[in-house]
Amino acid sequence: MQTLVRVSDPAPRAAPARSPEALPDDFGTWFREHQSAVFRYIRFRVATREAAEDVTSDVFMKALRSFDRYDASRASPRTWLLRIARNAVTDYLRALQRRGSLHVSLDRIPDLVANVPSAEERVIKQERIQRLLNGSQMLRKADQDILSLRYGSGLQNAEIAEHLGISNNAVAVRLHRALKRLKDVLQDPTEDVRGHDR
Amino acid sequence: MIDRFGRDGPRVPDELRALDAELSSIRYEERPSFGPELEAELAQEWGLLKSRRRTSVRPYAAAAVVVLLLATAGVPSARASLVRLIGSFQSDDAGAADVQPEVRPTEPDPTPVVILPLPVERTEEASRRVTVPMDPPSGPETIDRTEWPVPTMPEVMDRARVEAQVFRGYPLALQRAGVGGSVALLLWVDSTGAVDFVNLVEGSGVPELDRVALQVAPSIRFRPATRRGRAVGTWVQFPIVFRVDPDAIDPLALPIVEAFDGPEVDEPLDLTLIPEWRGEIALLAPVQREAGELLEAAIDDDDLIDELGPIESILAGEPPAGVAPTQWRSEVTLVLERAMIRDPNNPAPLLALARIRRKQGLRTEARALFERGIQRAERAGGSVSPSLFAELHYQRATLIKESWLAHRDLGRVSTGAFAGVVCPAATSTGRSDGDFASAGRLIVWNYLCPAALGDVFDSGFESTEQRGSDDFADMMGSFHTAVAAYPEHVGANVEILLALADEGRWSEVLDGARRFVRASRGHPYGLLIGGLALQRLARSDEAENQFTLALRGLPESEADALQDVRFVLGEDGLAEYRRVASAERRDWEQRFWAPLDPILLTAVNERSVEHVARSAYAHLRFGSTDNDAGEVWIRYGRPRDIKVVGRSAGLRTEFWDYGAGPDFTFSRVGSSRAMDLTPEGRAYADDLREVLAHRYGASSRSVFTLPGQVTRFYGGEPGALEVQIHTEVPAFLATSSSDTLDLGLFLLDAEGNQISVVQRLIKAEVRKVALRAPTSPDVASIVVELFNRRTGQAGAIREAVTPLVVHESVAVSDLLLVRPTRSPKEVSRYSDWLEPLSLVGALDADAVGVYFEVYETGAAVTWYRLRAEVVDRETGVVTGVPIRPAGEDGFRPTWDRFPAAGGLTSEFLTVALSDVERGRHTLRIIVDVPEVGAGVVAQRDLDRRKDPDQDWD
Repeated sequence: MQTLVRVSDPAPRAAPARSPEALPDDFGTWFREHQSAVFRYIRFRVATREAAEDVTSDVFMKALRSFDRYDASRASPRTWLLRIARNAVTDYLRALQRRGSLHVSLDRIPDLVANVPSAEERVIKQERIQRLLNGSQMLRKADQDILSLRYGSGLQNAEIAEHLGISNNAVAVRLHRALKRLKDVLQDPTEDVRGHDR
Repeated sequence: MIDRFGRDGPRVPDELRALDAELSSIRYEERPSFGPELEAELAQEWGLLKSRRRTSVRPYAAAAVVVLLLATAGVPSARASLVRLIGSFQSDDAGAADVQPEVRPTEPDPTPVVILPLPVERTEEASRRVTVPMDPPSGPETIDRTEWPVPTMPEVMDRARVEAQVFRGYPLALQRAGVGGSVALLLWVDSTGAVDFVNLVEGSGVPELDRVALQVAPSIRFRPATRRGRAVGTWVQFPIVFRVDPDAIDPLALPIVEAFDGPEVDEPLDLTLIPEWRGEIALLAPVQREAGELLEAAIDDDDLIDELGPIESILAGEPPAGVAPTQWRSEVTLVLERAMIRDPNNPAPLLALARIRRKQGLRTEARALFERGIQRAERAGGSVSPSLFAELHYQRATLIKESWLAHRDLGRVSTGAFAGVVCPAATSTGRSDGDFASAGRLIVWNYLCPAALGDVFDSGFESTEQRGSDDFADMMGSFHTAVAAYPEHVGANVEILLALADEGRWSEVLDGARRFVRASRGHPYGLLIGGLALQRLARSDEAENQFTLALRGLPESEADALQDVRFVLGEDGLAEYRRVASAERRDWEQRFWAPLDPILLTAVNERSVEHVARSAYAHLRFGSTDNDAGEVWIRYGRPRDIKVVGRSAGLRTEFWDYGAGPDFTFSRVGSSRAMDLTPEGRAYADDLREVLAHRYGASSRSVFTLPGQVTRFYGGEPGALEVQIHTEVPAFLATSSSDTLDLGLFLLDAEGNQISVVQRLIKAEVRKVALRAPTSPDVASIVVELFNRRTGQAGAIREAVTPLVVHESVAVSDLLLVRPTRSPKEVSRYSDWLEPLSLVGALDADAVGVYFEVYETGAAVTWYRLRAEVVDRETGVVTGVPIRPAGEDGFRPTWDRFPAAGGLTSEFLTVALSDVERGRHTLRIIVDVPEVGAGVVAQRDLDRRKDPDQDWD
């Protein structure tokens, strides 16, 4: 008997027809170079992938519009983009606060996973990541920022130092304090670690 | 890793190092299409910007370029800005060539050619011509222009194998009947190429085919999607088509449709029917269809719908794969808002928009939209189906549920409650949150001084959140409305039934589950909850039937999870279980449960049914069985009490109280239903696993310990062993003398197999019960059960027996404890005065009677000597106790006896217990035979208490 079953190829939607070459040359390069770091920085601070995509889009739109004001002597493109990203995240969270929906359920965050082999461990890990991210949202903004730069964007201390305009050593100290406060929050979520910047 | 914090930075403690490692291990799986989508969006935006600039800004800017060039030469920063500006103009025009070629020839070019020769096509050379002479600082210009590989989508690796697998599942009957179809799946293919999530997007309309597709999908291997040459996870749509081979159709298998002319009858309840909407689909298929049609009507523009993607995408608020999400969302939002105005009584646009808002994390807005949708649906009257109306209410309620979850049971403990309560082991008082104890402090007390924490909770716990109950009422209102409108709504039914279950209203749960099962024609979740209710109502046999049907209807993985016994095994059992091949696990589980059957009189194994009942609850309440909350629930059942401290929006700590011992402590994010044991809770759960892997518990089908004695004697025939049972019907089983009780005596071998069974019916009234039956030396344990079928309550004696004590010349029977004789006159014939004690565990008298038999088994024994002693089972101290033979006056240390003719001597002694203190003891009767140099010992446990508490009260 002949095979009666046909398994089709996955059917992704056609990619948009517009050619990316239409972007200004340097901007296109920056985009391809830094889009991931920007997205990850944002993803570390907002609750859902959809929101991170929206904010990321916003960042690059803003960057594109003010592309002509970029000053290479003041900051590298990545620093410039991450600075825009920081402001965009702040705007986004403020808007959420105004709408009274700051707390967003992190019930499912399948796009954030740790490098673990089995599906079972992956689920366990996802829940742990969920706790870590929720915990980090209880920190003061400066702490959130430095943790997002480090663990979201994956920047090294020297790069963070450049981004924040402080010394390497100051980055190390701030990172250490932020981690310590995160640890405290995870151990005792009732502790108020937000400090004075709220 | 230490350098992360800088060479001169602070020293890094281990726990921070661990946290650092953990945070560093997080990977971010982007949608592979997101980058290209956004890039395309940016290019489009750039085209618009360019055309705006061309018409207004550009002439001035161009003039400024000239000025700036002249004025700022030699100033690097200004030059750099200029480079950007110039570059942007240059790209502008390149973009214009792509975007609007028809405009370009007619537009004057205001840029001075001398400064910026504009290439028609942008090339590397052209861009260098602009940037290099300006001598830019290191920065963007020095970045290598990497050519990224084209993103790829996942590909099936072994198509033939998948086809063969699907084909194997294609039921022959359907093939012959010419039934085929297409099942649209949405799969998450992770970066290793494995399928991690399977969603049924559109069923074939034939449940069996959908099931085959869902079963096969997780095992399909893909070559993973790549982005920039890196493997990434992504969603793919994956259709599986069951195509009918015309040659395979058997005309005889086609159903014959006859005109229906009989009286209308109720549709029979076919519990084997598999609902087509099972799985992870967000919407019921009929609702999906209807909402889609309504939305199409509201938008009323086929071209627009085609452009924005399938109507299902718009309805779900999920951009189709490969479409730029931001642009898409804003376009869809505009279209939906227009549709709301155009068709004001149509709720579908609101439903879709609410979903978009929800995905964006805007819960309040989403809830308001659902509520407006409900109002519109009400206004629309008959044009909106009950199912869609129900779905709107359900969605609203699930949003409220998140808030309810965040507030449920929430409270705090004032620090004042610790005054006067002592926990010497807790060296630190712990942090406080104002006047209230921190969660950390409560956790420390919980594990160091659980009883003290119980007092603290009793006196100091105060509820802080009233909102939880408001939310609950609001939420349940919507769930009830959903079910009233559409009785087969799965989510709403499950929520209502679980809420009733949480209140222990099992009869109502059962009624509700039955209605749901009938309405949905056998939804497995309805059957599961019905089974749970039946088990709680002590109707395990019916519960088992429901579970069997439910497990048959569930996807294999879900059914497996509900029967998984890993959580209730100790370390050894677990190791063995893991070695068992998955195909043989069901058999292994049956062998595991068989000896644990608590009521042998029933055909069902109540304990394995209880396991499925708990798993079912955990699965529906916590989202799966495979999490910490599920583990504790399955092992120990429902906690007596749950207390929660923390903040509604943050991490909270839950204390699950199971009575004696520490509570289990969990942490949970406010609105999430997923819970983790705290590290202490995890350690406690792991420790407890070795001691008490599973507690059958009083909340499940309870079997109480009956008072009574099991004794064995040799009968007249040599080697003919007989067991005698003396017990009593306790008051809780004695419902009425018109009821009957099942009485059973089960003789089991070492493996738990039944060697013989004696059963009879007796009246359900308080009375003494005696039973005797032949037994054999192979019998390793004896079980006596009393079971009230009407109430489902049972009592049992379970006793492991060792071979009777036999010497080559002499043997002794088991000891039967009886009422002691008061005077020699009481002794005439032993059958008259032998009054077996039924309450052996609660001896309070100063003396106890002991009846036993001594048998001659070999060489003639002319005399033997009897004495008694009591061994303290805790200390091992042996105390000789005086005895008084029946018919004799006065106690004595020993009693010499001449055996009766025929080799069997009945012995009846009264043993003095006045010197035996309260405690757990063993009474030993020693038969010394000096002639043959033998001593034979018979013994029985004898616990002495002043205030006998009945276990079964």
